[in-house]
Amino acid sequence: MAFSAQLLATGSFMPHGYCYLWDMPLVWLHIISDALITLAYFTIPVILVWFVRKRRDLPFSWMFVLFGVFIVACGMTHLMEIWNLWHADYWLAGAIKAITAVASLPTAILLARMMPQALEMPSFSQWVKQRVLLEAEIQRRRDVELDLRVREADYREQAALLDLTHDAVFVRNARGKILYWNHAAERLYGWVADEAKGRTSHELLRTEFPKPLPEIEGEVSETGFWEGDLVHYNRDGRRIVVESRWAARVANQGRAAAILETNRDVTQRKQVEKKFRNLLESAPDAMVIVDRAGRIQLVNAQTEKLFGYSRAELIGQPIEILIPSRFRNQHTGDRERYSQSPKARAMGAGLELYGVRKDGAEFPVEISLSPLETAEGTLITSAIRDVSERRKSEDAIRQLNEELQNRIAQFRVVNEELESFSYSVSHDLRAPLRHIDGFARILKEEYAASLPPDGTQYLDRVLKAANDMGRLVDDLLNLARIGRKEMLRQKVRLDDLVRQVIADLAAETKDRDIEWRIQPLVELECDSSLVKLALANLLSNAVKFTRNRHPAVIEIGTCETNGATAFFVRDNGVGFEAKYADKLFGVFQRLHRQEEFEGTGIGLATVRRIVRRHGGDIWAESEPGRGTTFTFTLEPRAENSQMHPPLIEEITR
Amino acid sequence: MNERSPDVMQILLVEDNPADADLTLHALRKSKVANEIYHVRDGAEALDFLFCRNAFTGRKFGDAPHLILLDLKLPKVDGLEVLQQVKSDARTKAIPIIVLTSSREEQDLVRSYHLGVNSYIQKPVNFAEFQQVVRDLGMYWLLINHKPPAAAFASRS
Repeated sequence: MAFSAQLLATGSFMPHGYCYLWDMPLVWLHIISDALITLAYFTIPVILVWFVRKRRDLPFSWMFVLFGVFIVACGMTHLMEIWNLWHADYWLAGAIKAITAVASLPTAILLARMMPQALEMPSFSQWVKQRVLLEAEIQRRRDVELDLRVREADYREQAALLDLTHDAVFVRNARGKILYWNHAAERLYGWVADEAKGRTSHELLRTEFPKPLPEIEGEVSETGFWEGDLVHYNRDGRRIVVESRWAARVANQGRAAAILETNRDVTQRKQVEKKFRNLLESAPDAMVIVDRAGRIQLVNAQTEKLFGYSRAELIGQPIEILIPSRFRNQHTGDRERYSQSPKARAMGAGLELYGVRKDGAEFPVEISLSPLETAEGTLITSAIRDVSERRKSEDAIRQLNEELQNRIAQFRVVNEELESFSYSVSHDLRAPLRHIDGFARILKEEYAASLPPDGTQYLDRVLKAANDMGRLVDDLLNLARIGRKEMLRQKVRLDDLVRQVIADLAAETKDRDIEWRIQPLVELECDSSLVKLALANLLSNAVKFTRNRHPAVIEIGTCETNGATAFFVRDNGVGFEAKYADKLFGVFQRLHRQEEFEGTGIGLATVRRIVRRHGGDIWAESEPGRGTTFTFTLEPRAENSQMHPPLIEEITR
Repeated sequence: MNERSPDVMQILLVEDNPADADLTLHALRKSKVANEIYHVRDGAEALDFLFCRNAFTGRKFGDAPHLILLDLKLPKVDGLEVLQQVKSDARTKAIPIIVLTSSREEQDLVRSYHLGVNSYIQKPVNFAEFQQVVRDLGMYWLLINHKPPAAAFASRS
């Protein structure tokens, strides 16, 4: 207290202004200067403190604090100077100075001690230089960084591109562990990249190799490359055939550091190929596929069988190996011409083609060619068929045909002989009959008076016999003529024919009681003269066998039978026993004695021949005493149009 | 038989079969249409007669028969050949020719008519009918029909 009282005690000192004699300008000079110094000295520490606070990384920051304290102290002394102008507190001023001294001395000492360290700090020029270098370095690094960034983008893009490929691509290291696995691999195998990475590829995919793996690996380490077909199984266990390409990145000592495996799914293609091969193999023909140069590319089993060569012997050989030597030159030219504009066609149309077996045997073939477009260019497919058997059958047929022609020629000769025979019959057989008749008649007419009654009677028998014989000859000639005559088919109304026939029968029917019942009949195509002859025979038969009926009823009508229109002639005559129905139509077959009903036994044979020449048939139904019905058709049966041989049958009976 | 000198007959009968010839001649006589009939027995003789050669060199074309009754089936030269030669020669083609045959073959008919036959008759088997036919044709050709004039037998007609 005493000390502080003393400090504040002005005592007997005079204020400092007295020293200046209160010369006011001088006083103010001191006041203003001290005030400005004080202001500056108080401001500087504030700035220093702010600076230190801002620059916490500043080296020797405590130095700035010391400076701040020292300067504040200095400022206090100057403030005290102003105070002392009016107040003589010199003790207080002295104390403040002492404090300032205490603050300044360590500062000076510490500053001196700091100097060596401060000297090590770079100078500004050095710092500027360093900074330039630093900036250059920074720029360089930035460039590198940018470059890296660009390259990384490139890599990413490339990896993305690798993901774009349809082929499954993966990389595995020397131990077979998967390092990279692209999208296509994910898609193909079903494992995503994260699942696949780190796994052993051959285990993951249960790879089946076409040959032992060590051999493949040997090849890879030797050439850096391998390709072949592999079988893989995907996550679902589906079997996948891939076309695999391995490329090795070779590290030191030639060992493969990593292998890039590119796999293309060819499962479907293999199936198609298999189908194609099966198709090729199962083809009934020998299939030979050649390239444009005529070299054999592919053959099937049938080819081996047909030509006697093995596949291996044929592949790569010119196609001409399968052609007899005498045709080879010609064939080469033909083949080249075909290659110019290949299209599917039969080869050598109209020519006889031959193939040659390995053993030199030739055989006839039929060949059809067609172009086959492939990735390797146009191939020519030839289907070769051995036609030996067919040729043989054709020859046999030709031979048979020739024989048939000979037989026909023979038949023609026979037919001509028959014709001249019938001509002779018509001419020569008739002549003696005419003579018998002529002379017997002259005898009867001109010499009757000199003959006994029996003689005249016998002459009558001679005349009748000659007359019968004449009819017989005429009927036989008619019968023969039906077979030879050309059929002249035209539209005919059967009703008209029936009426004509009935009119022609006038002589036989004029004294008879006959009821004709004629149904309307259809118009149909036939030979009218022949059908008329048939109707004449049937109707005159009906007239004849109803001789004892009063009235005789003869009915002509039509009915359906087996889908064909049939006609019938029904009478109420004497009839016959059904068991003889078959015999009725034979030549010279008669069911009645001549005394009962006269006849040559040729009429119904003639009728049957006529209907059969038209493709139809005739049959009879009868019962003794109840009449007979003849039914006939004039066209082939709808379901079975079997034609009857018109000429030979009856003659051979 | 009524075979007189060739220049006065009116009918030439060409017939190889004696029975047929006799019956024809009998019928002709009974019908009383022919007073002169010359009978030759084959085609060659018929041609000699008609073309006035060999045994008939003395004959003249102008004395042609009024009618030829021609059988078709003849020895040496057949009836169709005779018909063909007679009808294709200007000197003889005017003579009416009647084929009298037992044949009724269609081909004989067709060929005869194509060769210019004037009539074709098939001999009926029945002699009564035959007599009637002969009578009718004699009546027609010798009495009703005008015989060709002499000029018809000139080579330039």
